[in-house]
Amino acid sequence: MTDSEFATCFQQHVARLVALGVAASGDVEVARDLAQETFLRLHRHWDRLDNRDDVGGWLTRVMANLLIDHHRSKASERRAVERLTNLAGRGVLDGEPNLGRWGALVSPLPTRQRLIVALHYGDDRSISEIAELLDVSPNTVKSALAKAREVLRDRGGIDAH
Amino acid sequence: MPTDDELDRRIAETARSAFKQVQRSVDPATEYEAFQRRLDGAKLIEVGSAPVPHRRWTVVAAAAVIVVAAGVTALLVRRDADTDVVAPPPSSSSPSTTDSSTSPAATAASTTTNPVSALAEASPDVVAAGEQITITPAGFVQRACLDIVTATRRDDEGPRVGQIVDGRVVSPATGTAVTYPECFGEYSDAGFTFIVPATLPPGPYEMCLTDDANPSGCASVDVTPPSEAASACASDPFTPPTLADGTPPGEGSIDAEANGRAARWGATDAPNRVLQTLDTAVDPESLDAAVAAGRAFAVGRFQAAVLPVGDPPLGSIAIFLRDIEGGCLRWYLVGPGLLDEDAARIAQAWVEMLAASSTGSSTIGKRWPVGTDPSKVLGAQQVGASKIFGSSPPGDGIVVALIDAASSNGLGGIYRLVFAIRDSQDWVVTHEMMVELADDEQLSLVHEQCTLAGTYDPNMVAVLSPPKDGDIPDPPSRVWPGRLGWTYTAGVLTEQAPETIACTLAGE
Repeated sequence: MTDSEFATCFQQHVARLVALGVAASGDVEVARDLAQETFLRLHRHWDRLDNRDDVGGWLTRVMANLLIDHHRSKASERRAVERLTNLAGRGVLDGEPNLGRWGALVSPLPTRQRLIVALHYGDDRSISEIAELLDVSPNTVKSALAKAREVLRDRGGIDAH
Repeated sequence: MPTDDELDRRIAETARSAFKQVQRSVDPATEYEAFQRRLDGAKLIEVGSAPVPHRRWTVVAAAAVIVVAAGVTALLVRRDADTDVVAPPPSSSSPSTTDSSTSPAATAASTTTNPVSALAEASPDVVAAGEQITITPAGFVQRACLDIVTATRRDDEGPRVGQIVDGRVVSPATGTAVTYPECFGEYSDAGFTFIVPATLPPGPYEMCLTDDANPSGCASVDVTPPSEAASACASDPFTPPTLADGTPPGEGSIDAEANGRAARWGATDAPNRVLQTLDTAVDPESLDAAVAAGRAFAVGRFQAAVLPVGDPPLGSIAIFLRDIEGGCLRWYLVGPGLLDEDAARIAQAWVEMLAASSTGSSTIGKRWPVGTDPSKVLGAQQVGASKIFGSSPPGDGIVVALIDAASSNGLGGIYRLVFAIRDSQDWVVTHEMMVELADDEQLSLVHEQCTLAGTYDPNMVAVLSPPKDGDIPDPPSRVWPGRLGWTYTAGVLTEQAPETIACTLAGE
């Protein structure tokens, strides 16, 4: 594998990963940052890579894990800062969602559910693919999608186009 | 109201539109340039140079400034060298991302299978799943998000990597990859005490308090099967705090069900009955699904999660109840006739009641002098009593209603009733129980008089009244019928049939 092949791979997948990141985190900067981190990890293994058939799936998986862990670490940071400064509730570390309608749609959902919804509806992944990517059972994916529909229905559904 | 299909269509349209909008806004060439700069920075870190900051560091640096400005203490935000805990990309021999050969095992094994590399101390270093352990680092290490322990199996059996978070194993599973990006944990040399989840398979592990497998933060731990007490959980009936309608469960019985034994509280086929499935281990995936569906509650050391078994309200609903401290995970069924949200309310009430009752130790046997306030002795706030300051001959009984600090913090409606008899110059507690009142119910302790089935009974000590909008024919000071009531005499507590109870309140 050459640097130019890596560059091609990067340019082929980066926009999709950023879109997934934005859909799940609601924050473009976080999404770009985590997409770069994903490619950084790919780069470390690039010389040993002898099959690119499923690089897209691998990248999606790493990106998904990074998004979940990002949420977890962000919560940890927030707790630490709140503990030390009594800044609870001021949203010091929160990025503002900036995806308009989609952001408003998925913002009530927990991070993992938001990710599942983004993978299913935005990235066109099947339930079994998502289960494999996120290392959860298909039932977990189905439950998350059902929960998302329930939340949306409670909010009166979505305005038709 | 849109159908599922209609909702699916609308969500998909919105999602695709959002994806396209973002993808159009991303310039791959610009991103690649930014990536190259970051790659150069990462290379500098790898050879020990100063880390190159990027967007995320800026955010945390801002947080650190806030902390320092507050004059409290500095939040350490130094970044260690990047670590390789992610699975390598697929190779030609293992194209699937879930194939175990693409898991981090190949990478992690080379750095974590050698027990000599683990320098932290585990106490004990042989621990049963479901029991407590303390890991003390060998010096200051950057902690993994403060509350996450990574567990890496040191042999070739079972799961390779899992995370222990808040007493649960997260993504333990089946040789598949788990990644831990850098986390801005504090630097600390303090020990961390946690419960080894009962679901962690026995075997040799390396448990790390750090994200980067720093030997100073990792300890070798041999996990043995759950103790008999913990593994017996699935077979031992454990009385649920309430029936499905919030009433006390009373005595349980063991029924033979088609799939094995079940403990039952409430009448057979009664809509409020609760079944505990015995002798059947809980499927961790079911629990995972319940948590993922957002139907999980935790208060203190108790967790509960709700998962429909069939289609509510026609099907039953499972409530998983876990005692984190003991490692016990039990499985109850409520319904049919209930909706998801009903079961969620029950589950939440259960953990609240269990946590409230566990925050204060049992009061049975405790004494306090006649004519004094028992609040301190009983360890909770007193909110009412049938007779505390008045005189009573020996052998007389009273009831005191208490509310625990945990319950008074917005949980509402959950009381501990303490029953005590007069023994010389002291009151002595003989019974206690938790009761939950609905929003429109009341607890009455002092009565002018009560009758049971029309006959005056002076020993009626506590009554939960019906809803205030119920069919109460007499003046409002009269309670009839009670939802629950107890007589208490000479230390004997007896629950009375609700329809037989009628009491006149004494100016409450």
